[in-house]
Amino acid sequence: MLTIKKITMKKCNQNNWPTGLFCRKKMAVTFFALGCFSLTAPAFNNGGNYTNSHYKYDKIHAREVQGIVLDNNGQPLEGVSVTVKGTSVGTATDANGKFTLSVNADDQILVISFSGMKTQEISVGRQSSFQITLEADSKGMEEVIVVGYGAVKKSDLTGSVASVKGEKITQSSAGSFESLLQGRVSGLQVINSGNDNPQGATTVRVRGVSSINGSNAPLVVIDGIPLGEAGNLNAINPNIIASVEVLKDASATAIYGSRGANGVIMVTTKRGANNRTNVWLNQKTSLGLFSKPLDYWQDALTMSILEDESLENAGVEPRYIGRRDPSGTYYPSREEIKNGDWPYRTDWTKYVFRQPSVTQDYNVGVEGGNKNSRYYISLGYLDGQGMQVGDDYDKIALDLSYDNRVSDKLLIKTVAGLWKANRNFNYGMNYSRNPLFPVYNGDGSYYKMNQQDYGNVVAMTNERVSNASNMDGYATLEVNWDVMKGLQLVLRGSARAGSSNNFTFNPPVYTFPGDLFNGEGGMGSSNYLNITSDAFLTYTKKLNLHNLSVMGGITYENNVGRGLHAVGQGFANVILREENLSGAEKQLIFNSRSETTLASGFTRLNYAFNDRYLLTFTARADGSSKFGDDNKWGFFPSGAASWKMSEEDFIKDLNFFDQLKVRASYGISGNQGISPYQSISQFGQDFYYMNGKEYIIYGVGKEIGREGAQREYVQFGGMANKNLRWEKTAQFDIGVDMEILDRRLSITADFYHKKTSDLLRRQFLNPSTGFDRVWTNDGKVENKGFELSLDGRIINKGNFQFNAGLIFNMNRNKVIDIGSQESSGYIIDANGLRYEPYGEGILNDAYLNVLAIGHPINSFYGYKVDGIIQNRTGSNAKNNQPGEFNYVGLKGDGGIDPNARTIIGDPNPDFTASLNLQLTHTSGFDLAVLLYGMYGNDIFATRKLDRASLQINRWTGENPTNDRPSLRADRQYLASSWFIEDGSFLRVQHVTLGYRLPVKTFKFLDHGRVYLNVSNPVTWSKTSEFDPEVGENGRGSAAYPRITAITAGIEIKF
Amino acid sequence: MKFITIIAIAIISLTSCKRMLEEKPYGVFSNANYYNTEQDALNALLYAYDPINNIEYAARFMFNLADITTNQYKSYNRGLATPLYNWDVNPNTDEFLYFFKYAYLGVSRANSILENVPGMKNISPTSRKQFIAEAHFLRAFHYFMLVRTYGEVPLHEKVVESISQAKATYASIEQLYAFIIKDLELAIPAMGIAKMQGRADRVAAQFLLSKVFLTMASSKMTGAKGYEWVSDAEQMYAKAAEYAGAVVNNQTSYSLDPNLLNVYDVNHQADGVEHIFITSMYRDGKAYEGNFSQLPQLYGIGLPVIYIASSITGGTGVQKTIEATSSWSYYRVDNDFYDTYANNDLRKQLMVTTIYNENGTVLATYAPSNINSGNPTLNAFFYPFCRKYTDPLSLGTRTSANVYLMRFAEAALIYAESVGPTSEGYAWVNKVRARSGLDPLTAGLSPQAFREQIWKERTWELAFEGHGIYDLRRTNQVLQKITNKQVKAEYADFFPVPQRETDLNPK
Repeated sequence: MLTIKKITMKKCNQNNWPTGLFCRKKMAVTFFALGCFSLTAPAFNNGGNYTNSHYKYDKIHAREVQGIVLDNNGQPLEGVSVTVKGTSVGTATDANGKFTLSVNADDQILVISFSGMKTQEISVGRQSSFQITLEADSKGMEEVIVVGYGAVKKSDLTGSVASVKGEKITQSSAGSFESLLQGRVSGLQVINSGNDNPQGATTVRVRGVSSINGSNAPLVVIDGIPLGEAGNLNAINPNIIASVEVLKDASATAIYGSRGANGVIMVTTKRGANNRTNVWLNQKTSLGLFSKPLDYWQDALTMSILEDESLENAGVEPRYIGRRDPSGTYYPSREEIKNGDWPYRTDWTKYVFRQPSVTQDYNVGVEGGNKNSRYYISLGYLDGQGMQVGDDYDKIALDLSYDNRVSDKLLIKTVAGLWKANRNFNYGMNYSRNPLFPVYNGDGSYYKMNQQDYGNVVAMTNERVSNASNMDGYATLEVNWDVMKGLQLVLRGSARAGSSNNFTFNPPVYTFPGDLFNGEGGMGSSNYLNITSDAFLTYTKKLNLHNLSVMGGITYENNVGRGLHAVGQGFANVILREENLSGAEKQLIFNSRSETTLASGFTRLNYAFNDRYLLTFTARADGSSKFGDDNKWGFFPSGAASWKMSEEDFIKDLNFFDQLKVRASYGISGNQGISPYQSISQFGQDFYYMNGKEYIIYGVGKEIGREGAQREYVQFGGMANKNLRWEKTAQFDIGVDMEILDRRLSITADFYHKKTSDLLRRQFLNPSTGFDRVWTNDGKVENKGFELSLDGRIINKGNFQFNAGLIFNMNRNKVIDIGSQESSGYIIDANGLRYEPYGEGILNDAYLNVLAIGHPINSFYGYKVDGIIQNRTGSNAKNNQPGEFNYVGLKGDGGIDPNARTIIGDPNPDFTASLNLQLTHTSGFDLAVLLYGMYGNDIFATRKLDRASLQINRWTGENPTNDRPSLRADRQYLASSWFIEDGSFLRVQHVTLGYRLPVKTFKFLDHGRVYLNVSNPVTWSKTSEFDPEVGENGRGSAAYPRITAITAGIEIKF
Repeated sequence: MKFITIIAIAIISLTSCKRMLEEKPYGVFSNANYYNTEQDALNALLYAYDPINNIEYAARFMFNLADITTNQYKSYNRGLATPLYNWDVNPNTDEFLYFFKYAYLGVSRANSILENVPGMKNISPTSRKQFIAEAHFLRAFHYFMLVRTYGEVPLHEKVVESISQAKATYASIEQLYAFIIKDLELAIPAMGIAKMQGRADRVAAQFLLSKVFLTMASSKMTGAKGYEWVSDAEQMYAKAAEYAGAVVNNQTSYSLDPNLLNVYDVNHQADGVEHIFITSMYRDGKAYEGNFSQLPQLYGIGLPVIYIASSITGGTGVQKTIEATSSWSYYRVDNDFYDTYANNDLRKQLMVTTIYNENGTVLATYAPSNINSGNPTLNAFFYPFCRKYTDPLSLGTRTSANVYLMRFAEAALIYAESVGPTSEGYAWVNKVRARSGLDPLTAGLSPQAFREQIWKERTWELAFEGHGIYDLRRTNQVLQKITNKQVKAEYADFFPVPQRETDLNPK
């Protein structure tokens, strides 16, 4: 048995473990922490009416009492602190929740406290045996929150930080953890626009979009090491996440300086526990199905009639007339289709989709430790399937952590891991291919409608090679040295390295490049090395009512990447495919190298007076190699203050607030999210054949991307911008945290105002410059928002517990300035609107999304359409005929006045909200439902035009509708208000039904749970898009409805 | 305190390590590390030629803009190759934007040569002189394309190096011509004569300058819009005659190829005497279209493999238009245009009316009524297709069929038009006619009638080679001569500068 005194000393020495080691249940460390807090900060334990004078020491009548501590569900709790109030006597419960303790007098009081639970006090009286049930503390104010380069008690936070526990997000499978955060964290917006991608594909935003083209993705920091930008971080196995903290305001993010402007997601991984060993196993199987029926042409006759009508209206020959068209495709006549003389009706969806897709996720691990060391080993395997046949991702991940307390003053922590993944790409196949074409010819070869047809999905699936694999490893070593009382030094070094390979082969006949070159194969290989090292000192001093903590340190990051890509073209024998590049007639090699460096110094000062008034000052100086010579360094300061009002007597006297804290912060953080070398000119490369020799040629202007409906046009860049510098975001935040109604309702509300200046953006250039786009920084964008998060324990009686959580986010975005007209070349339109085109062209128009002063980022710009023309207007021009769009600005000669363009929509939502309901029964059953919704955003729905089922209501002489134009194959579609739809939606995101296995029945078990989760079963929306959740530019993109995933899982621990 | 000192030292040491943060362009050529060797300069020069070979420039869009818009082609209401077939166009139309962009890519790259090569050390004086002259030629070539297509366009004389230089004033047509003439006058004396496929020499520069003066002269003479400023048409014709005369009379490397089919023979593009400036796409070129050509597919009819006569004078033997791939029926010759050729004009045979089986027996014959045929072969053969672009040796779909940017026959016609109905003028136009088996032009024509004859001769000689609308514009005949489609009148004289340019750089 340990005495409290000894434990307390130990704890206080390790007061400053920087990462969130305190915040997990069943960890002896928590107990140390609580023990210490209960002595050093009495107010913390909510001692109620207790005063010191109450205590009386009696050394004569010592006797043993024993007991068991259970949670709400009757499960024993391990590691619960049981102390005798006012003394140093105490113990912790064992694995069975049991404790034994010596008491000296009957009037002594036992204090039973445990992280995340309400502390209880019980008079000993004459009892010698106790059964104590601890209730969950709804908000867990004792929680320790991980912040950059340190951790603080939640109640001491001055900044705006939201947090979610790992176990909340792992009831369904995903290739990357970001998609699982949707609707879980206040202020964090996650767009899962590619939810059938087995590798995961998400857009993650904290408090809106502030940058234009610089990255808007938050920085992800795992166990203190910056990993990269959120979006698709496959490196993190979601199953080993203990908690995720999202740093939102400037005070919280400024410690990450130049990378903090978009918020920071701190991931803390699980660690082993002292003095015990557990083996655990999680298994999940998910089935993916379409959430709605597919909408494509099944009725070939109607399809042929409408297509022909469309061609005839264009004044060209119809297609279904039983002849070859100019491309050589034979289309049967409508008669042949009608009477069945043309026998083929292929349901391409059967060849394209899996119904269902099956994803399996296995995780096993061992965790444990002895007095001085802890370890955690986890092995995860994910076998993910996309909806399309052959679209696969599998990943195996091994993660290890080991901590060893070498001496009272020295703690060594290590984390290392290895992950390997394989991706087979078979995506974007044409499931709406004309059903009149067969899959195979009579001889078993694949059917091609003409020689240039490269769209037979079965041929593509079977004959094409496109896959990638990677192997990555990481290792971190951290030394925590308690130099002297209150002073701790942390030295940390981390290396991440990996290599990836991709393989492609395009066979002749069935693929375009394969046909062009008589087989084209490629193999790419790349590797990277990222070194991060930092050192920081923390000094903590408590002097009477003053509590001071100062932290300062330096960090250095270096990223080197190299790549090699080999292509072979022209294979006499294609049997060996891309494995025989040396057998190709022509071999091409491309390679690359890039390097970036970031060097920084940072500091943070925390000061608390009387545990009521808290001040934080944070600053970081960052130097980045990405910027121009004179702009390499940036300085990012921030300050925050908070007042724990509930400690004040006048609040206590109200007897209303169990907890009340107000916070305010202001600071500056930066964004350097651009690719390297933008501050120097970059030359392009091509080939030129001259007099029997092929030259490799170079010069000003290089390919930087593609544009056009089929991405057929090259975009040129490479112009230097020597003045590139940091993008800066200044943010003001004011927030309140409170708990009321006997802690049954907790509320966190924040208002923020962010101003981003020196906007990093890829500006369009007028094509006469010889460049399409260049990086610039100029202009200002503002985000104002309100975040509300409510947590209520609504029912907590008898066998039932019902909790509800509401997250509400509102953000208003506005472009304030886009630089001077001289420097940015913005346009002033006929209505005086000042704007700059931004983003790709759409349909037949050059652009849609603009940055317009006074309007939100990404606003839609285009023509207004006022219904459909019913009577001829003006000339014979096609645009003036009945059945055409009645554009505002349509001229008599069929031209449309470009000055009639205006802002026609806003893709930014008015608000997003999620509601999380949880019902728990003591029998072990639990039910959780998560609803997620978005309101007030516009979608530019191109599906409105091409969705099969909508075609039938087109304008005709007999159907003079105002809703749809006539079908006309050669109509050139401009960005117009006709395509704008309300994008609001409400979705049932998750429904989880779980059952906790009774440990009493399964004695060998420590914990066991089985569950069934359904994600995305229902969505309510009004858009014509297959899925209302579109990218932040508001353009519809989903090729088919969202996937509903049904997951069955089991978790056991013994 | 001790630790504050440590931090202070650390931060100070960090700020002093500026070199650590220096950005080095690993693996990328940049202004800083290029233009060192003579080969660098040559490669950069070829990069300035390179845009011409692309679909967006001469290898497709030039034909779309210049020829599809005229009576040379019609769509037959079959499919929708490009909206230019019926002038259903607006300032966002792809051809307008990308042709513009590629011409300016050429301008920017030529400007880069002109800025960097003069100061180079490791280069022979001969090469330096030659490369700079070629860059002047190229810049003039690109601006001449631009001014004829769009009229007033922004004038960039330097590589754009910052956003503040992006907006350039729209130069008047007069200023643009002055600029083009100056560039060519600088180029001509500095260039040598050496035929190289894919590169220009002095003869090409003289050819181009003669055409520049010719355009000014005829535009002024006919009252074509935009050329009111030209002082005197005859004076400009005299200048055109001076430079075209240098091409036809004062050099020995180029001449009229006596064999018409040789001009279009893919095997004689490099060594043929006819080609003064020709693109250099090559069937085994690396990467994608532009390094090789797909012109035969664009011109052929939609059948898998087409055999045509090996000779146009009536001999036996057949050849493929292209090896083992189908054509796209993209450029559809107007059969009325075909009918404007005299029956004894050999150039009429450059439009194919009979296709064969591999063994030489006739497979099908063109007839306008084929468009209604149920026979798939006949049904594809509803227009006589152009055989100026063929490559029987193509590697699958990759061919060496090139664009004939400057031919000797055109120089002869420029010269004839410039000098008018003189004996020399008659001599040169009749040489061109004679090669096609035609009798001499009627003697004693007035200058006006003679020049009108030359314009007709040009449509027959230079059909499907990217001259159509430019010749109609400079002779003020667009609305009169384009009869098989509805010309959008506002674009008759010049196509619109693309919306993206006018939006970002308003006129």
